[in-house]
Amino acid sequence: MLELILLSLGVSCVGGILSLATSKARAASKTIACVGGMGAAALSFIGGLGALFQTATYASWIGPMPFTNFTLLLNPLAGLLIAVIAVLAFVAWLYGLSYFDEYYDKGIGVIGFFMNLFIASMNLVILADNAFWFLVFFELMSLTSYVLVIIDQTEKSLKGGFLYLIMAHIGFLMIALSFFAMASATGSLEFEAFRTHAFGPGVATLAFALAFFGFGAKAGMVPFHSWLPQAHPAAPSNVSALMSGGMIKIGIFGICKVCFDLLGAAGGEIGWGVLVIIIGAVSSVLGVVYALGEHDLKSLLAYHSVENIGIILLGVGVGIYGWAAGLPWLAAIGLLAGLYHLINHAMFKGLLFLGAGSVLYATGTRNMEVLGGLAKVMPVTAVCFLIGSLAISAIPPLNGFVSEWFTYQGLIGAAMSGDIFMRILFAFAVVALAITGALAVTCFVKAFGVTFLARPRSEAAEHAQEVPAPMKVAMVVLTAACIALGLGAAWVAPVVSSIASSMLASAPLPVVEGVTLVSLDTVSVVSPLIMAVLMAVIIALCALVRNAANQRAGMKSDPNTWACGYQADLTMETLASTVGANVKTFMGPLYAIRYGVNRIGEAVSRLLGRALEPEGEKASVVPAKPAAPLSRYDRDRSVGIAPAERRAPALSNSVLSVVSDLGAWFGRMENGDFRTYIVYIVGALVFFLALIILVR
Amino acid sequence: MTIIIAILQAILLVSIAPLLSGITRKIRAKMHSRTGTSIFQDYYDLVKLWKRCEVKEGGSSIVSRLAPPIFLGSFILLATGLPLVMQACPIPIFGDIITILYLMALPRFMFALASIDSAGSYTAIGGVRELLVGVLIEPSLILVLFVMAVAASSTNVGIMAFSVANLSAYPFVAVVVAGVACAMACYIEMGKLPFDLAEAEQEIQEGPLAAYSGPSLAMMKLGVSLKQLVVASLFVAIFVPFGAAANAAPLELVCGLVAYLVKVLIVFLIASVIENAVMRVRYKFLGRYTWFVMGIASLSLVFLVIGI
Amino acid sequence: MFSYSLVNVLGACLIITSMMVVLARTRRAAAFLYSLQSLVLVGLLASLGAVTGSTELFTWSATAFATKVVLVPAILLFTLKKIGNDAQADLSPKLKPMKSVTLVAVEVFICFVAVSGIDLPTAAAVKPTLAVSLAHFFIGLTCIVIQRSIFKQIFGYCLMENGSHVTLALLAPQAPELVEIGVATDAIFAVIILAVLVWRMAHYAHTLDADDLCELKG
Repeated sequence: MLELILLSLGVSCVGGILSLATSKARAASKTIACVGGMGAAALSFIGGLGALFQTATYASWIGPMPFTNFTLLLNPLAGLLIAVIAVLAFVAWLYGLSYFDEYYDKGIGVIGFFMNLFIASMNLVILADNAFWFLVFFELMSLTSYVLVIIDQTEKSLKGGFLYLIMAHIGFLMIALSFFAMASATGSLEFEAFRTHAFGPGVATLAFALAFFGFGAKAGMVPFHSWLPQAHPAAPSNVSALMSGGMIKIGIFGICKVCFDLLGAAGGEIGWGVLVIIIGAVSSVLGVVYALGEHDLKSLLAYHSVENIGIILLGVGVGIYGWAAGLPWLAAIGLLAGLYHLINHAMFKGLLFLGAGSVLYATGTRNMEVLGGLAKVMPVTAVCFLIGSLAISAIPPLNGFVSEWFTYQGLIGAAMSGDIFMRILFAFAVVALAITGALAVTCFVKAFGVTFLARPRSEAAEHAQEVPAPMKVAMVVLTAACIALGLGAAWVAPVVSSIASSMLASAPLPVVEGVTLVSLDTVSVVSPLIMAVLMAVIIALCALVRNAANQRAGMKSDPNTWACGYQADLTMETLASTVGANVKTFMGPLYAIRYGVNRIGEAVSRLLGRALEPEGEKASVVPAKPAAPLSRYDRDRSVGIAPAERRAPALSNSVLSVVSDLGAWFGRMENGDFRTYIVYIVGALVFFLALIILVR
Repeated sequence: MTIIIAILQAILLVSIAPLLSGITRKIRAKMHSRTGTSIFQDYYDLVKLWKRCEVKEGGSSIVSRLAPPIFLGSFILLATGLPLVMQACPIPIFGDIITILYLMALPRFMFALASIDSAGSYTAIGGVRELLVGVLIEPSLILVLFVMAVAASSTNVGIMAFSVANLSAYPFVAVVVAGVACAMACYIEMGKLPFDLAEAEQEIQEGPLAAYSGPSLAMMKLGVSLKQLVVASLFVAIFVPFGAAANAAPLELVCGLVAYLVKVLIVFLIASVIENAVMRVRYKFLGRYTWFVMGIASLSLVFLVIGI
Repeated sequence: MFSYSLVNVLGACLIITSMMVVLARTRRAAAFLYSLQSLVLVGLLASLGAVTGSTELFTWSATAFATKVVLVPAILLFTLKKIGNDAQADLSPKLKPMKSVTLVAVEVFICFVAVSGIDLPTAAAVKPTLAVSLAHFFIGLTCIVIQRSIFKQIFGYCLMENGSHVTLALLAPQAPELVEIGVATDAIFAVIILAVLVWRMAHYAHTLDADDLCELKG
């Protein structure tokens, strides 16, 4: 199977280089890149899928220097990642056959070259089994994706790209430090050496913490998420799909690899699991809360990646906790949940980004406020986007539900066996996941409803046309995957479970009985397939009865909308900002955190501005204004914390005023300046490292 | 055998849902010193709507057509899975708390989409508000169910009902406090006063229904009453399972059925008395109440953790 | 064993009733709820007496009934009647109910963590009740801090006092009567003094708002 994947890497490289060579003949260049990429993806898909059912394959070539032995390892986890990325890559290339027509003026050969290289480097990162080569390919992956982010050459994409580059390197630095910590203890850069060495608890925790934050920066978890909503939307939509669906999963892969594989002999600490669960819970809630404030379709989706990484981390966190606490069944169900959600998120997020790309292709805008009514002119896109929305909102019986179900079972199962602190922690995680679920429903009602339903609010939306066949096929493939991974959970879950047990070196957990998914520790069952069948039957019956009644009594169509006696008019429609403002009424404090964080950044940039440019003009402290046509809808974004009201100095008032002063102080300490993000990140890092060491 | 019970209880719930809403209307009228309509008025309304011609608005798409069957269908599906006349779930795969909560999100999703689809501003605001009530109540509901899951060592509603009925759910006070929080959460979820969220314009109250007519409207109305009944039944099933049949013996089942009907009637009576005794709360202040429920739920969590 | 769990259940009821005292909208309701809480306290002392077989605790419960269930609420209600229309009606607390409830929950949890290291002379089974009694100290403090009305701040004091009563019973069930008499009379005299102060202030300043009363200093 390793040979097939290596062959696919070769095809990718050849395709990329040929595409670059023929970049003058733009159509040919595009076709070569896409066909080559699809071929490579098909090969690596077969290779990855095959690896799921085999024991690990190991290959090594002597390098020019002692530490550069080129070692590759293909185990079931790597196989899973490769297969997931292969599906996304195949679909992205297929989509590109039409979508890249828009990029003829921006250097199609360059896109073809870097995108092929990007996919190849992701596969190599997954395969590499030597710290040196791992880092080399990791860097290659960051650089190639950086080029793809800035391909538009607009101010926004350059800024997003630069922030991304900085963040990628901070992550890189931390991962490198983690590897060096392990290498200095073992005296080798081979992962095999790490794997067999029993590290002391100090070194193991340091290595884990560095790797967790380093890979976490790549995965886009809070507090390292600031780059994600800026960088992902800037890339071409199929590349966004690949980045949001595939690349950020490398972060998760890295965390799992370091924890369960490289530090496997050292054994884990419960504190690691606690850290991962807390960060996961916070990421999931903040990700969806900020997504609700967006009216740019692709930014909204990018924030949802933050959310879903949080959900995956919750599963992985339960896995680490169970592993460290010596509860193998808990570790298995946690990892199963995390990995299942990893696959699912790749599918529905890929689908949604492609859907957003189709909207962009057809109308030329990503701003939901000026869209609307697209369901009638773009039915295929609308149906695919609707199914993607239902899947990401974890509505049964689709795939998102299955993995979230396992996540809940893992969290509740962990709470049953945990001590008092753990019960509080898992209750917090369950509540965070529930808030996330409910807000995700709201957010996707907004995203789908405002974009595709009601009446068109602009010329572009009114005259939009359905996208060409390759783009439609690409979306339909991923839609089918979302449905299959949901309804076919009884066949997928055992495979994922076997990957989890191969990582834990334990016996596979029985998760399926017939077509029912089983959670033994919480004594519960669910069956998406039976549920889907019954649901379809009942809903079809209801619909038939209703339609029969309609036929008997007749149906009329009225072109006007009833607006309570007023003349219905387009400005009366619900906009994305309407929903956002409503949510803000109740979730104000969560937005205040963000506002406070932004203001911290402002102050830091002011300080830096003074230090760095003593004579020059003062750094701008006004947050970057959105494009003028949008400002009318932007009011809800600029609502901040009310200034602290001072009252009589009773004891409680002084406590309250200290708290609000603290808030205001935090608030005073951002704009989109990348330097501020760095300071903020370093601060967060120091804090968490201190926390880990203290907890240990 | 249990499949038959599941089907029968779904039919039962669908058929008595309008009756219960009729009874609530009657109680309201009595409390206002009016004669009020017959308790069967909801059935008359539904039959009348059923015979009417339906008007499809120009702006709406297939989503508006799909919403009523999905809305009603999802709640029928939920009705089959709850342990109502028996202590165990008639269909175990629908008895998981996570499945129940997420299955309730589907009708909410379609309801809100249909409201945006109609392109009217009042309808859409109504739909979005409906969603937000869900957002606000979800955390307390899940926390309560989490406490119950840990107390009964299962996420299955049937097993929870069984352990409450046997008084074997361990931290006793935690379960009682959780029951209080769950009752409050279910009351808000039922959408009764003061949480029916009518503000100024009458149209917001009925939200997305403003764009519906004829059989579709009848189906939506039936769905809304069924939703109230299902939510009330969820509370009854978990926290008041007393009297429900412990096994499938016919006599026990009949007793269980009678007990269930009495319990649910009492719940509706209490709910309608509360509904008519309070003022309507401003939408903006809804959060205060839901966060208060969250406070009670977290108190039950603490009781669970310290084991009393 | 069942009796110990009865003690724990009564301990939980103590928390619930004291929360209701904190949340009560009107001052009258707070006084009656306080009386209810003291009744729970009496039950707790009696059941603890039954479990440990210490006759002193029964005497304690009898005196507690006389002083706390009857006398203290009576004094408070009487004061309320005396104040009458001198000061404005009930002031709302500074914290929203949700926050107060969560705060109480957090306090109980922290106290449980704190007492989990202590070994009890009575039995390890009543540890939750010890946590509850300790938490009462904080709940009382919370009540004093979040209430604007000085009349309601008295309840904060009373809650703290109830907490110390339970702690004493748990840690030293065999303590002589003298201690108990000290605790009980102390409570009565303190409440009387506070009630007189409140009445005088209402009479003089026509307000019970602690924030407004701060203006009086100097």
